[in-house]
Amino acid sequence: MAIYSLSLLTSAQTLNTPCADLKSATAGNAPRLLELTLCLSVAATGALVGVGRSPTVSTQTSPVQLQAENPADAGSQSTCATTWSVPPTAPAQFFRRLSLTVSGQGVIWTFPRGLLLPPNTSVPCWLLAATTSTVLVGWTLDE
Amino acid sequence: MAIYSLSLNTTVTTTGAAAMDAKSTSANSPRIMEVGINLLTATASTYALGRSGNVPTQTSPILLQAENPNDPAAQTGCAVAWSVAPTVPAQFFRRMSLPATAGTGVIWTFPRGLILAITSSMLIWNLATNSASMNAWWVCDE
Repeated sequence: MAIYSLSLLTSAQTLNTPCADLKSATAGNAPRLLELTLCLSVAATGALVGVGRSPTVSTQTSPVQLQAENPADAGSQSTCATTWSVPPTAPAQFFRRLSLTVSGQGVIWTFPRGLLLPPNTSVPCWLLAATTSTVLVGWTLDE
Repeated sequence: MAIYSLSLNTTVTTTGAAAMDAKSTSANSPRIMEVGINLLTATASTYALGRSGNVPTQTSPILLQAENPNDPAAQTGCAVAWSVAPTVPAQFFRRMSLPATAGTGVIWTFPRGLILAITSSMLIWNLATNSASMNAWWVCDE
C-alpha cells in the first residue's frame, strides 16, 4: 500500500450539504484515511463541518485523484470532489465535528489505524450550518 | 480490538455538571485514545476530563461508530443528557480553559489508552458556566 494526498478549496455554502468528499473506487480499492485537515480560507461567517459516511454513493463532478507522495507509486484510485451531479447524503452520525470562525483556524485530524472506506463509498465533509466561507480540505490516504 | 469514534454537540452549560460522557457496558472495557473539544458558541469555557463518581443513566445514548465498517458495532455509548446525572470526578486527568472565541478547542490524546472499566463513565465536565454549544468527540479502542 502507498500514501496519497490532496488538498482542495471548497465552494459549497448551503446548510446540510456536502462541501467536499472522498470517494473510493468501485472495486478493488478500500483505502484508509489517515489524516484529514480543515482550514478556514475566507472567514465571512465561519463554518461548522462534520465528517461521516454518506449513506449513498455520490457521483462526483470533475473528480480529482489523490497524488502519490512517492511518484514511483501507481496512480491513486480514490478521488475527491467539491461538486457533484449526485451529491452525497447526510451521514447518520459524525466521526468528528468542528466549528471554524477565523480565517486560518483549522484542525488536523488523524486516524492512526485509518478510517476505512469500502469500495464505492463516500466520506463527505458536511456543512452543519450555512456559511459564506470557503474551506481548505486536505486528505492523506493509505491505498 | 477495533477503533470507534463519535462526535456530538453538547448543550449542558451548567458549572459543576457533565457536558458529555462515554460509558462502557458490563461486558466491555474500552481504551479512550482521543478526546476533542471545539467551541461553537463564543463563551469563555473551562472543561475537565475525569471519571464519574457514580454510574450515570444516559438518555438516548448513541453508540460510537466503527472506523472500519467491517468491525462489529461498538458497545460504548455517548450521551449529552442523563436521567441519572453523572457526579463530579474526584480528580481530573485533563483541564483546559478556552477563550470566548468560537472555533477554539483542544485535542487530548492518550497513546496507551485511558482505560474505562466496565460499567463506568468518563466525563467532559464543566468547571465553569460554559459555551451553549460545543462539539466534542471521542475515539475509543474497544
